[in-house]
Amino acid sequence: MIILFTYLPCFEEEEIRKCSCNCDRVVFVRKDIFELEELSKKFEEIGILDEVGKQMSQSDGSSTHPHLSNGIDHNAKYFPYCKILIDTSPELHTLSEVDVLGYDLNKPYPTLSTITSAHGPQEYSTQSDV
Amino acid sequence: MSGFNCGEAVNFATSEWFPLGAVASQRYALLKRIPVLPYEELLCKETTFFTNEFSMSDHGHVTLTGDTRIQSYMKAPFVQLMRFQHRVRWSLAKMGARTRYKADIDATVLCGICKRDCYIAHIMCNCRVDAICLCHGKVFLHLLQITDICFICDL
Repeated sequence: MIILFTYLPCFEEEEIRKCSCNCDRVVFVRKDIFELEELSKKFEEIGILDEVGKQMSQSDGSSTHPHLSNGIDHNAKYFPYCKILIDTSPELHTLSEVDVLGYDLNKPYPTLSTITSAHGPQEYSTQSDV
Repeated sequence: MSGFNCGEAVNFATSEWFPLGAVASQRYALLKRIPVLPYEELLCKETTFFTNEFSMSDHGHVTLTGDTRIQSYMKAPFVQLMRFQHRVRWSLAKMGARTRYKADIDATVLCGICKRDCYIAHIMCNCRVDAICLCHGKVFLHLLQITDICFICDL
């Protein structure tokens, strides 16, 4: 059985519609994002897209996400895994991650114990930002 | 006579769990409940871990068997997740959003709206104190399609 990644219907669209941010919006990504993308590209090269029933277009994935098919900049063409500039300059604005709700895998609920991988010593342990 | 009553749970799962985990993750997000298990984080970590393990394995038959199962249950949703996130991040960047690295690479944050775990990326706006996931981020793009203008603040 293949699971297809589906997407959450947004019940908070009104709230998001009120967003007046534009260039002040920041997307925070993991520092190993490029390693993850390289891994994904590697999987595609060995035919994973065929495995998922070619749900996504080989060119831009727009067949799975038709709502994303119209770009904002119509002169810009999207290419999967194309480089997205990452701003590494010192943060000058007030936007930061200090108020984000952190997820502590070890303590999502009082009854949940530490989760460890059954395949090795790797331990999943996240740290709360709160 | 009274005594202590100790209880401890240990969760085991094989790769076949991931399809169920994906469904559970979506259900929890719909209900805006904090997930018991962070699906996105587990998917990324396990996919990376298995890939590294089998790439280093000298046992061909083990690799073949394991790789087939991984491909079925983990690689495909991983690729879809990475593609989706990249597409949204690229579109948001075209709208003017900046992309920055998370301060803590090990931190998984929760979406302030649906409580979905955001392992790879999350969005911060000046108008919110909490983060939102990229699933909500696509609403920004949807709005632009409806209005055919380039900036949210012009709405």
